[in-house]
Amino acid sequence: MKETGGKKSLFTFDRIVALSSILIALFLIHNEYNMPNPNIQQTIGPSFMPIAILVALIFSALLILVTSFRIIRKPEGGEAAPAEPPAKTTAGQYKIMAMVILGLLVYAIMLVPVGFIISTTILILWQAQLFQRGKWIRNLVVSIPFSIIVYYLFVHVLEVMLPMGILPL
Amino acid sequence: MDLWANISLGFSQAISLQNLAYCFIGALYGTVIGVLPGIGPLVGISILLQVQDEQDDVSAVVMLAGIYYGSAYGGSTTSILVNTPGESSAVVTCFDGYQMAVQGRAKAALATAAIGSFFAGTLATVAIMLLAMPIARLGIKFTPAEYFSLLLLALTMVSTLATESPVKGLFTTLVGLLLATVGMDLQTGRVRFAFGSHWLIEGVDFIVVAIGLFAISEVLVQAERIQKYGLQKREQISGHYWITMQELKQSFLPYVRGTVIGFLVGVLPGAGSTPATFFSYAVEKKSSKHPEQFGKGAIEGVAGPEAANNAANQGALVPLLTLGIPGSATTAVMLGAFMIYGIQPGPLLFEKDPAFVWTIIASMYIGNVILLILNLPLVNVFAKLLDLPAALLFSMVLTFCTMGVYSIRFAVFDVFLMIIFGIVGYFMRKHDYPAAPLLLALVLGEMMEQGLRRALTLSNGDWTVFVTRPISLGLLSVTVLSMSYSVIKYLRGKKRQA
Repeated sequence: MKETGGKKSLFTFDRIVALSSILIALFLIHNEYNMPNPNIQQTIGPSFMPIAILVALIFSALLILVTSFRIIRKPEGGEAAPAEPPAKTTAGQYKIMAMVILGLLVYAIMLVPVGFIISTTILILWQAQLFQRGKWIRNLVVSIPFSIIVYYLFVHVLEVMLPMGILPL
Repeated sequence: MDLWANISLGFSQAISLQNLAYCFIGALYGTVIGVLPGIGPLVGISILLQVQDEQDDVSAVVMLAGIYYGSAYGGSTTSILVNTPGESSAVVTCFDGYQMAVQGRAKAALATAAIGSFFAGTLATVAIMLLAMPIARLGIKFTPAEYFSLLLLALTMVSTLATESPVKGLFTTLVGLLLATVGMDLQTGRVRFAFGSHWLIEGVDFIVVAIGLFAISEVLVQAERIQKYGLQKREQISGHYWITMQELKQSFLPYVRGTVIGFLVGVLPGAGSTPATFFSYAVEKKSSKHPEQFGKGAIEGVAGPEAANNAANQGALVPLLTLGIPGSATTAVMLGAFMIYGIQPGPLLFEKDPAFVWTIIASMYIGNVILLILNLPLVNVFAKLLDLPAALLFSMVLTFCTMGVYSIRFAVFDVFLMIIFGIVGYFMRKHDYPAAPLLLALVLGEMMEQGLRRALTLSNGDWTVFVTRPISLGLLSVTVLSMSYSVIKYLRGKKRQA
């Protein structure tokens, strides 16, 4: 999913989605078509359903494409601007969301080598900063016990193994 | 008589200490996730799926059901006190519930919501009891051909009726079906769309998709909102008394209408509880003698929709339990949970293990009583959850989501997949691509393909089997009708807008 390229641009979100999914679907159909199918006596084999879905997907993407052109014509017809997009996401908002995702990605990478308790404490401190600056002491007081309690709860009560990582537990 | 035997069998099991305990835990957890903004029953159940394969199946499902209907109770608390719905089905409750809280009538709003939920939950459970056997008896006649047609109907209705844009609903449904084909084909063992990843051979787990699309994207949306508007303060639980006789009288008819509307909408696949609440609100406003008070703290505007919400939730359990087919994203996750425990809900379950089914149904009465107690006298305790700083709350939600996904098969791969679906889910929300049909299609896709192939194997490759069997033909006709209806409605709506 790419960013929406401006409202007036020819490449609106819907069109990018529709066009790229048509291309991907064509590639997948091609891919599936060339798959060796096992020689089992069946009316429909393992390729039938995926190809049928992909063909329908291309059809629905075309529908999205067609309707996207109908909607864009509306404002030209003299009517008020479309009420749909309430407020444009600002750069600041994109930045904070990117930071949330970045935090999660780093968390996923750290989780196994570093371990649950340390990674989770860091994740909470990171995310908490994004939502509300400062309050380090409060966040530390909450995040460290939280990580330890959740770890013990999962490992010893619910018997779900969590990575312990570098902490000697 | 048959019914009484079943009901008493159910109750005798449901009141065992263990089942009562799990029912209580489910109701409690359900209330908590209902109260907390950002996690609803769908995510709450998804997170929990991996950590509870220890206890016995009945207790597990009793608990799941408790979470499911319990979250509807908690959702209204957040709507009333913060004006932020805990879930989409509690949006309507904000209209008048929050106004009541602002006017210092928070207690009355909370009380009518809890009592309405209890009223609807209990009556809808009676309706489930009455409907379950006849539908299950019908379902027993189903062959794979009927199942395929029924699944097709459920998917069509969810993708076209419940969404703003049937075109986008259709699109996300197909993406969900496509995701369902990833991995090894059950009949031939051939691997599809794995692209060399050994994780994908096992397919894309619906929990990963559910948590990504619904929870991670929600945290992103909240981050976006908080960046702009800052954190929100909640209203105090105000009011001297809970509810007066006068207010209860005013609420009674809305309860009854809300329950009927909610249950009917809930039983049908596709609509779910959110439209039921809007529908009920509209009905109350129309039948009220003082419609101008709606939106300014009319108690009927809380009573009706809350009853409708709970009745719709219960109603959605009817197709799930009797036919094994979920009609909403949340019940699809419930079906996935059942399958993790090795339970296949449906007509056969009623025959093979009536104790199981009836215990669950009976536990719903008990669960509703527990919830009434939790949500009236103890509502203060849960409201305290709303004082938790949002910054910490969302980080904890992210932790639980990651753990829920990671513990499926201890794969960091799944965590990355969850993050991707989170980003995709965010853009889907922003551009009105409904996520519920995608998830439902992902859960039902495999059943659908197997149904189709089995039906064709049984008929020796004769495709007419779908139209020569009367039930299948009927289901397919309804599918075509509902599809053409929504297309026509959509095109007409477009014209009027233009």
